[in-house]
Amino acid sequence: MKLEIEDVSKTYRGKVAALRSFSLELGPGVLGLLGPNGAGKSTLMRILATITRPSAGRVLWNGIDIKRDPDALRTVLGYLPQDFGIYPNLSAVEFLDYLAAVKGLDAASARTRIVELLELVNLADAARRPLGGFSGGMRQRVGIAQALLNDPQLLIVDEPTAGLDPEERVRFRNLLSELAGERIVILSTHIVSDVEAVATDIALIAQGQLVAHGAPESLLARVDGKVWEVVIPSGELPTLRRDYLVSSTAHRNAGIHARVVADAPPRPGARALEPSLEDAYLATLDTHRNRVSAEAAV
Amino acid sequence: MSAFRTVYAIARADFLERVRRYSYLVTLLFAVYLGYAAGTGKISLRLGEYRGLYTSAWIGAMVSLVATTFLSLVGFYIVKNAVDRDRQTRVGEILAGTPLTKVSYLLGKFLSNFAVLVSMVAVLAVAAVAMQFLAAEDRAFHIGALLLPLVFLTVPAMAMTAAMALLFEAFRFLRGGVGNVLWFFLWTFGIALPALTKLPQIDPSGLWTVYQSMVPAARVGIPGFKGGFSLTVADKSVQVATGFHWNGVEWSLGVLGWRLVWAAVAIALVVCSAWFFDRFDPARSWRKPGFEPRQKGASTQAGEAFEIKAARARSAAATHLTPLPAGLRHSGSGRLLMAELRLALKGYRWWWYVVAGGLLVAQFAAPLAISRGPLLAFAWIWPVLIWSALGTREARFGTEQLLFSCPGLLPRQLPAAWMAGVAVAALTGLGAAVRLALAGQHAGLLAWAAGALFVPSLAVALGVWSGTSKFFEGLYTALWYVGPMNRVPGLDFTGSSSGSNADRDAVIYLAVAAILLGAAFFRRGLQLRVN
Repeated sequence: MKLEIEDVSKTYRGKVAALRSFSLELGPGVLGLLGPNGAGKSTLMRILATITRPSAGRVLWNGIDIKRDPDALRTVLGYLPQDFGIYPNLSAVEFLDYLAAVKGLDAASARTRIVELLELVNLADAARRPLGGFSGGMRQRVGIAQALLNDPQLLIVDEPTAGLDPEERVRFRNLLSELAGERIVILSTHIVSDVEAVATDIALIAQGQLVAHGAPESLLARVDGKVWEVVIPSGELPTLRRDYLVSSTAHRNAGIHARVVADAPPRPGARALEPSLEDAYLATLDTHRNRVSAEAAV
Repeated sequence: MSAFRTVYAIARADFLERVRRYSYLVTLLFAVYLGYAAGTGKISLRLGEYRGLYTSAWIGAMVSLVATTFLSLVGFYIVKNAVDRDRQTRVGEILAGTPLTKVSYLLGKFLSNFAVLVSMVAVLAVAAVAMQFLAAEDRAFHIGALLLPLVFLTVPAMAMTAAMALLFEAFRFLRGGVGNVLWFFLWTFGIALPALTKLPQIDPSGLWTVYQSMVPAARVGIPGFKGGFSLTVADKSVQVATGFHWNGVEWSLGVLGWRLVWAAVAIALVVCSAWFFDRFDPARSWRKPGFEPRQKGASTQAGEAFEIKAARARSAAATHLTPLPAGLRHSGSGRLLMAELRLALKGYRWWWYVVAGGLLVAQFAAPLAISRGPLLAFAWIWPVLIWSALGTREARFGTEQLLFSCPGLLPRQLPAAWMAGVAVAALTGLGAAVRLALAGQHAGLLAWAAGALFVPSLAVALGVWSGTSKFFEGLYTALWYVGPMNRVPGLDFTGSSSGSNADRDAVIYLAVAAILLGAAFFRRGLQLRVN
């Protein structure tokens, strides 16, 4: 089971480049695709889901070009788009049964699968209610269930935890971990904690380019020994932000506790901290932006 | 002052959003076509067998009536989405959180609707000027006689159309397909209002105003004129009454006063619409929320840790997913057809089925001529909203991405949706078919089958190409009214008024159905190969 993304670029009308020569090779496991808003994550997801065609490059599923033979992937694909609709007059069961028929599942398999999925996403009690009355979080869970209908080998989920409450978010993360065994899961998000919890691999995307790719440990290693906590009066915060990458702040009695990513201690008395994935993410993005700015200046 | 600025800002934003869409270009092209049709005699103003010389007055009146008549029908469907767009884009919810009043909002939308319609009238005005020069039947060019009918007759009628579109959007049950179908009948009623009420002033379209001026003049100026006044899609030869000189409508204070009244009625309708407008409150639009407890806000770390434990415990206890055995992933097309049929029929209230059932029973019980005539006609207008959803449902409810990433969609889902439409036609018109079969009227049965295939094909094609149900709802209702209801040969797709040409008409409708279906497949294929 292998998904290869080879030099994929996507330019929309108006010459807006959403992806630039993006390459990646994936095997079973959970890939956390992280990036700021507008980085090209959703474009990449849509290309992988055979919704959008790349302007250049190709995507191979087990060696088959999905542009030439999209059904080779579609039969084993589960896709949860960032924005999707539902049919308001149908119940969750009816909606899932409809999509199961579209995906080609026979009635008996679909029935069993739908019951299990509704249990799994905690919607068994609401299974017969019209979807039109569902909250945003409930609709999102219906979306998650439909993505799993055909027992997909490739599961693509785009911002899946948007609109879920913390309990459901955790439940979904756990589900993704359980599903990851013998399939490829691509989790696109800008919520670092979601990726931290489940990803076996992380790809960082910015301005349509792959900025970093590797295991979470390798990303963390980039900022090992470079994360500090300093306590400063609130008036000094703007100066600190100007001079350093501040990944978080918290107001305390003694002043502001700022978490700083820097090669050397930013202030006398700075305390070294264990790096988090968020520190690594912000530092890598910062380095990328500085490099792009420098190249543009040249 | 501030209220004016607000109304202007809403009108401007809405108008710009509209005119920057590709569909606006299509709208203007429609106006250009109307101008062309009037200029080349495809649509003409007739006095019985005659028409007047193409003087400024005649062309002004004719183009004005073409605009008033056709734009008030089609224009309604074009502009009836001002509020809906804000609902779909969710801009409405942002606006609802501001101090904006309902009246200001709707007046802004009204002005935008009106501006779109007037821009189409402007295209026709240019066409009117061009027409006089190109026809060259009368060299005397009178700008007032040419354009004042557009200003005094058409513009108030466009104001009424713009206001009615908003009124329909304000009423929940008129927002969708019911409103689109109803408008056709209301439009017909509006045109006939002066004749029905015997009150010539009750003339929102302005048709009667021209009639009252033109016909008495024709009685004097055209020898042998036996009466008659019509705006027709001409297919017969027409004589030019060369000796007849009509100077145009005399714009008396009385006439102008009544035109102003209709403009004022339009404004009043907008203000009335505010009373019914839900101001984007979903509680008034759909079922009230409350099916599940409110979502929790951001929790503290400790709270989240507790929830993580709870969720893990529940996750462990959750049902396991049974792996799907290999080879089970290819269900028959019958299953998808049933799923599409269920989707098509879902959401209708019990009385819908009662009426459909009643019409079906009546087809079995009534004399054959009635069964295959008016009863079949009514049976095939009743499911218009089911058919109009074909091919548009995915776009309307935003499920394209879910569906378009499924395998083998083109050869499976669209045919299943179409067949569901055919099944609805067959079921609702079953009585007439059985009666025709029992009577041995094979030509009639063929015509019935052609109709049952044609209607869903038209729906799927228009739906897939336009992405909206409005075109089918408007066009099909008009076709149904002209064909099966008024028994115009060739346009009666049920075949009940085809007489000896039943076979020929049936073959034509079958061919058209095949072409429409092919067009739908072609378009859906393009949609699946997006970007």
